[in-house]
Amino acid sequence: MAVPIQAPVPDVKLARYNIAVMAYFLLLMATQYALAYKYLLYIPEKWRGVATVSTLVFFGFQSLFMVAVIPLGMAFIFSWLYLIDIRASVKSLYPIVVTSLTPFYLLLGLMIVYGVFFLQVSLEPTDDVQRLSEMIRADVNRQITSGAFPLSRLGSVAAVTSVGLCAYLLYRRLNLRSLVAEQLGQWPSWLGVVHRRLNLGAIIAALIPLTFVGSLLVFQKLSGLLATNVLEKLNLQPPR
Amino acid sequence: MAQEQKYFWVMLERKRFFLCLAVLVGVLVVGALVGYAVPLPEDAFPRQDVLGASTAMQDVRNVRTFRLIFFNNTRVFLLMAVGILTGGLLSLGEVFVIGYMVGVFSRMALAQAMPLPILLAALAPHGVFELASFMTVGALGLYFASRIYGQLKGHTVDWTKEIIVYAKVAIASYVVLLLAALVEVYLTPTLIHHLVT
Repeated sequence: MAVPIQAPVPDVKLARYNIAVMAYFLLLMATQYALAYKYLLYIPEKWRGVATVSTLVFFGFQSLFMVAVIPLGMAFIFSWLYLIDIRASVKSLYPIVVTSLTPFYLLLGLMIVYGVFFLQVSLEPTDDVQRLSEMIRADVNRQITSGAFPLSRLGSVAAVTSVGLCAYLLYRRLNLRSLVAEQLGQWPSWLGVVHRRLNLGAIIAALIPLTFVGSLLVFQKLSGLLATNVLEKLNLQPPR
Repeated sequence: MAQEQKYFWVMLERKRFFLCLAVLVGVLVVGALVGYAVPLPEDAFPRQDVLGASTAMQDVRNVRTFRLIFFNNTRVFLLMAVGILTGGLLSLGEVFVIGYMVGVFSRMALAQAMPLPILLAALAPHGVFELASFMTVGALGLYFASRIYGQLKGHTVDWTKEIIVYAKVAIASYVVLLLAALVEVYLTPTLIHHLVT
């Protein structure tokens, strides 16, 4: 039976990471609000209160959803390492995951600057809320497709940098090279051959964030399917 | 050796679990209050024809409506279940949004001059089961986080047993959710119609 080994536990104060997480949440909220603010100005005054509060509630939930990537990522890394009989502590994983988000802080900062100074919204004023929501949707689509702000390209760069950073931190801070070398005796012999040639610790460190991002994409795809296609395939039309 | 517990929910640390549940109820209430306090344009909501609406509701008491409602509730339930892995973070947000929707809906209904007993009949019978189901699964997330914290403080946790208990609680909650959808589709419209006529 394989004997698990303990990954090193750093002697770090978590307070600064807690502040970083709070800042991430606030930055997410601020970014969404900065992008939506110019649209909210077009909402007729009597509806503006409920529209603003509802938008903020929605943004708050969306931001929590994005912050939830931190505990999810920690659970994912913990499970990955658990499977190869390495026991990592929450105290070591939390700083790694939070630091890995650094590229997204920069991206969010850029988006706020764009939303405040460069985003141009020009809609035809109307009191018809239904028509206004359609116009806003069309304008948001136009903004995205026009490429005025290359969100998907910058988002991909941030994601790739974040994956690289996470892999590097896992490799360095958990000392994966020596942990893997220590565990090799309990694994199939061909893995030993791979390790001698390719540094298995680095491969595992890269695979963990890559599979995490892959899982998030699959989850996103599946939830999209659930939201649209399944209703149609089950022939579940809204009741009349 | 410790005696095997007969009921799975006894394996939860009840005091801790109820504390988590209380936190979620608090967030739900805050969400509902925020939703209720939102300024709504009163003139945008004409007086509702309650009798007409309750009659129309009789026509949608069918399997198709049940499937639609149950399917939508299942999506929220699944998100709550994923929330366990996030230490209740998602659950807190989701419960706040649910509370907010209830608050806004109640405010709109009262702006439409809907009598309070009818509003309660429309929300409470299925809402009790639905919220109980969502809150229980949501509380598991906070409970999970507190158990991790406990382990960091040196307490021993048997995670295999823990996961089995969570799964059983989640399945039991899902059955309650099924009951909620049945009540919503088959009982609530009858109750409202009875009150109106």
